[in-house]
Amino acid sequence: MKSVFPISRRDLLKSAGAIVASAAVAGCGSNDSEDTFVSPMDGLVFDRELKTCFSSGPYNCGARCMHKIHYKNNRLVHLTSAGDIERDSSRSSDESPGEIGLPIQRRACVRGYSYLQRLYQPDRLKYPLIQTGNKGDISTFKRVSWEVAIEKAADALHAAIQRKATLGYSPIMCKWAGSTIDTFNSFVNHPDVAPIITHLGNESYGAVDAAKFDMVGVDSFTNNVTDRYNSQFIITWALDPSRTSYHIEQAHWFNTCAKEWGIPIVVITPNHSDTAAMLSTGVPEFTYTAGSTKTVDIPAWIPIRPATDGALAAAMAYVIYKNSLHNTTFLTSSCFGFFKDQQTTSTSARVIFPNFPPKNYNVPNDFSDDASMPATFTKGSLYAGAVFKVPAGESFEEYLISLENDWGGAVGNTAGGTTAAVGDPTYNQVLEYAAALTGVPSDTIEALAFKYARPGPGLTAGPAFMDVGGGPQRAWNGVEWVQMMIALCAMTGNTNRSGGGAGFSMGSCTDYPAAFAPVAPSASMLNNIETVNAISVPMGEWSHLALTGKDYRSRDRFIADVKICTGGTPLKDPTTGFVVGVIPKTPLDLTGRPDPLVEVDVWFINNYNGVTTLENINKTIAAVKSVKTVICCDQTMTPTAAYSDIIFPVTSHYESEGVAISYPGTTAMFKMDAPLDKMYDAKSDNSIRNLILSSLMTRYGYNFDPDTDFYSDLPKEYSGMVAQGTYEALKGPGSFYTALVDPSATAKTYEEFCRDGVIDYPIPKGKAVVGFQHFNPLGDLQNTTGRINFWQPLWGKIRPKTTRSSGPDYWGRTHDGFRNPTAKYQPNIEGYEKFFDNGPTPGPNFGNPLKGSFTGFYSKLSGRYYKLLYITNKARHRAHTVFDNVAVIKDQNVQCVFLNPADAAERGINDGDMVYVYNDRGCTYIPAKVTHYIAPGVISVEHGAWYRPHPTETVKVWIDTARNADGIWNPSTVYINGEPDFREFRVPIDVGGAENVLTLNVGGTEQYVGQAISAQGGPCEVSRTKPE
Amino acid sequence: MEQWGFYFDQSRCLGCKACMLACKNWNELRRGDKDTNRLNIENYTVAEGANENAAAYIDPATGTNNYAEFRKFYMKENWRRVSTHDRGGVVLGTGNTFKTTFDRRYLSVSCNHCSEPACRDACPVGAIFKEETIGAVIVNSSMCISCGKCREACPWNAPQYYDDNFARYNPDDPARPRMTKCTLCFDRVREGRKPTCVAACWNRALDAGPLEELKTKYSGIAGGWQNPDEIEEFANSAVPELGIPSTGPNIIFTRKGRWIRR
Repeated sequence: MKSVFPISRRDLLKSAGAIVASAAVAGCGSNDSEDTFVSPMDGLVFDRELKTCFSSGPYNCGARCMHKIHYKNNRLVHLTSAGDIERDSSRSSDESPGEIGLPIQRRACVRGYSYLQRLYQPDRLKYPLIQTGNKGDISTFKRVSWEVAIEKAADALHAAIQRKATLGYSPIMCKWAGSTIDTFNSFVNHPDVAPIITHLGNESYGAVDAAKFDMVGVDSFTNNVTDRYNSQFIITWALDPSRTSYHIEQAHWFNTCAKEWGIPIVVITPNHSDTAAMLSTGVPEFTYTAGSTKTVDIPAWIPIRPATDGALAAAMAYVIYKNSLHNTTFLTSSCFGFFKDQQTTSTSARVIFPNFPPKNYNVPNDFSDDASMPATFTKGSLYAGAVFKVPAGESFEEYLISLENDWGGAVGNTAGGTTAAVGDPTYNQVLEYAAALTGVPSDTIEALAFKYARPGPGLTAGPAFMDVGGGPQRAWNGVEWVQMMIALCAMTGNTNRSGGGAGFSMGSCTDYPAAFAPVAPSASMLNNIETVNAISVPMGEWSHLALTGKDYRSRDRFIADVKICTGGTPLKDPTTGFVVGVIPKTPLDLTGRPDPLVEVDVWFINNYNGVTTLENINKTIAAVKSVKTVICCDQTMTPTAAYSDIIFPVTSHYESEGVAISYPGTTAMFKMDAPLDKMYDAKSDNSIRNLILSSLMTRYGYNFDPDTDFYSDLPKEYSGMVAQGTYEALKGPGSFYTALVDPSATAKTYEEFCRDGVIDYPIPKGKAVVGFQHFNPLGDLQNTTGRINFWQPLWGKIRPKTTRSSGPDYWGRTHDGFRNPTAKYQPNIEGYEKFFDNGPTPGPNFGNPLKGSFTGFYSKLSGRYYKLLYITNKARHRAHTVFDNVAVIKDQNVQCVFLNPADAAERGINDGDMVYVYNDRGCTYIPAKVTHYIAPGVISVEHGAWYRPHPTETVKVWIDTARNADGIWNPSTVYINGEPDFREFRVPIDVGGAENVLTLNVGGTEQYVGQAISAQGGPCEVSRTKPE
Repeated sequence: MEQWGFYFDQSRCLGCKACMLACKNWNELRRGDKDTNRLNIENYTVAEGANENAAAYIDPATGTNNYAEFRKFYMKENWRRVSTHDRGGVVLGTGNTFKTTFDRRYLSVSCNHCSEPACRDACPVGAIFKEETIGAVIVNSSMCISCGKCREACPWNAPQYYDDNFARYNPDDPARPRMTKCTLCFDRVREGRKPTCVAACWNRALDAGPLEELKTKYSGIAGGWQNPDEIEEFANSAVPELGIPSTGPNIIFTRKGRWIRR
């Protein structure tokens, strides 16, 4: 062996200290020329001065992992994760994915590792700043003292509260007002302040909550993670667990093991996700009989067009139904609304909504205006005993048959109530229509349905697992997709079967509550959000409120809903925690008010990058400009901070102790130590809010000391006590765990928890926990009937029976309908259907992807034809928008637009070209990645890159606003159907790659549906030349 | 000497790059520009003006986040590299439907700590040598003259510089990039720990240890492991442009191939 400096290991070990010393001499004393001898091994000595402690990621990626922090001299040096253990002990303590019942290592992904760089980023906010110029101009921020910044914030809030005397509300807006468990919550609910304005909803899984509400109940849980090993077939639908795994750490590893143990997996996504790349197998040469015997290769990756997932599910349901593969017993006994004329007596223990409805689910209390609601209903009593019957034509069975007319063109023998036979032209055309719409070939659809319903050997029934993600529910029609997933699971009886699943994997409290003691289905998020007493608007529509005075609800509807939302405070049963009544108060009545109905003077933002996270950024920025004072607490100069007037710097999670738990559903909890002393001139967000409130109180003659009268910045040792208290309260094991998994389970002591950094309650495959058996047994669901509702009485009975229209106009301005009471596919508001026979005068086959000719989506505003659909899937290196500024991971995941080579060639675009991605709402200028990773006709701009305006380049956009570009109310606004007409503006081109310059901030005319994000499946174009 | 090597299971690799990040994280203090680009954060002083300077956040020319500034403060060298290799495609077929033959594979490679390292033989000043205990290929960066010959010689791109324009620097420039490379986490291995990339691998696709031990450990898995000799063909199929000298790479691997129940 040819070694230049042979230094033996023995020598190194013997004199490690001496070598370190000589290195120090060589490094410090000389000119450090290349002639200086420095042993190459000097840097390869383990630093024994490093201390080690535990941490986790406080930002919400949906899961949590273990971090090991190596630190020295009040500085983080390295960050490793759960896999960093002695090599010799790897085999026994490593990588048990649950089958043998050992805890698995919760290893960090790139986001976790980037915390080290993020902590020391140059763009960390270090002291308070105020804006002295125009919003968004970073160069005009000036440092002020904490006292001055606090005073300014309190001044702004005080001025807003003073306006309550004339407005009836305080024009202050903040997010999550109802779940902020600190003094600020008391403040916004104080009688002298409330109501304020809150933008509610959930960027991550808002449509799942909405979909579950009366279909299975929000308080429902599906099977635990290791139960997938009991499955015979797994469909991973729109989920890339290597990027997002809600409630389930390391889901990619569980799927890997499932694959290696022989369970076939297919993946359905518009883009070839990492999961599709590695964890799917396809089903080669699958043979079944539908009319005739067929053999089909079900591919590992099934590309699908964005926001048509519900149509694929509907077609699969059609195949299952027509081939009698559905589980009639289950549908009869445990479900309601599948069969025509089905009638059921409710067994639900849920209370009929009292006068005060839950704010996030803004259900009017006027049940009695619908004759079909049982007359015996009394608000506040139980649903149990009420008799429900599906109205004619609204059962799921009838919906499936109706596809023969709507999609199948009734070319067969459907007239007169008879339906098509399997394999006849109508049956075939239903599948061909779905194929033309979704892009999934009809034989794949049919085979997939058979495989899902009959996964066992020789086409026997058996458990199949639908592993669903969140992409398609981040669309205008996302609620309907989630309901179709739940419907497919129920049709096949997988809902309450081990190895099956219920069709959702995220939501308020969805996965699995077994581990930790106080977490039980009754302690639901639903009840927490019921405590809000505010003018609540869907989060994505807050900009519309700021620009027009209300969200997309009609004026009358908005006024009526505000009355309900401000008409009382909830009365809770002290035992169950459920809302059982209302303490009435005088509601806010906006009737007869001039426009704007509601104004926003102050937006208070706490660690939330709303400008980038929410849809339609150019509209959001127009809205921000109309708000007098934007107050932001954050750690880095996010786009939201940049558009704020007052910025408060927030400390990091390395400066106080805590515990980390991803969601109630997880089975692990992590210790977070405090290796660092206070950094910069920053304060905790709790402390910031308390300082502001103390200052505010002085205006009312109260003098509080924020350090003693409030829960303020705590010394480290106190944060340790709080962490211990939290641990003791949550440590478990929960009663579910001891009952179902391990009767002898005990919790670690706090000392053991601190020593290990984690407590974990593993669930072996053989003791799988099935949500719909153990937590929310069928018949006792927390909805109207207690059963799975294919037809949902709540929505069917309290709202006009109109279909949610996707409307003929650019934005479907006639979208005047409400939730579909029947689970069904709902075409997206700007969906692929509208790419056919479109134009200034739509052709005869407008909206028909089978019969119409492809024109692209025509916009009356710009006169453009958009021929591409966008998706905004999650990035591997961001949690929503968090981490986008961290170059160490950004450089490995360059923000770009993914487009198929066919689309690139059509537009003369080469891989790496800088291109404009645009539609009527905005334009982003980013590199093109030309790749077969994405299906033709679809582009992907990954979610969460930070909006940054180009200094000089602008484009035309169209915004429906009643304000001028500078935010001033425009009295000469033209209204169409109660909404301001679109007007042309010039806005900067985004150079940050923010996909939300393209997206649509219309949730619906109903607050309930609007709580989700509408970020997938809209029209756009990509070009090397700037659009005009 | 007991020669160590890596094991890579391509059928498990998700391309997540946690291995790369863990490597940069652990070896942060070994990056080539640590002395020229270092944040003064030892005592968290808050310099007046640090937050008012817009250029601290935004590149004034383009308006984007000032990543050029941000990236000064982390390790640019990619001691471990994850590459993506696609085959087939997805096209619009009949009936407005998609037809796909697309397949994607990832390849995670650092230094294979070859038995006959090409980099060592190419280095004109003898700065690269094979360490005696585990056979790690180590560079003495202090001797490096930034000629780039090691990089040209290595089939795996293992020799790394923090700036690809390393040859343009004046020899006396203290910022001149000198070659750095994977050390097989020599510091960690001596402490009985796994290399940081192996410890980090999110989907348990990496391992490291004495090569003979790895061969035994992975002999039972379906498809088995491939000989180090075959990695030339393996890499050739994945990275066609690479020329492959016979360097004796110390790596075994499992290909992503037909799905086999293990």
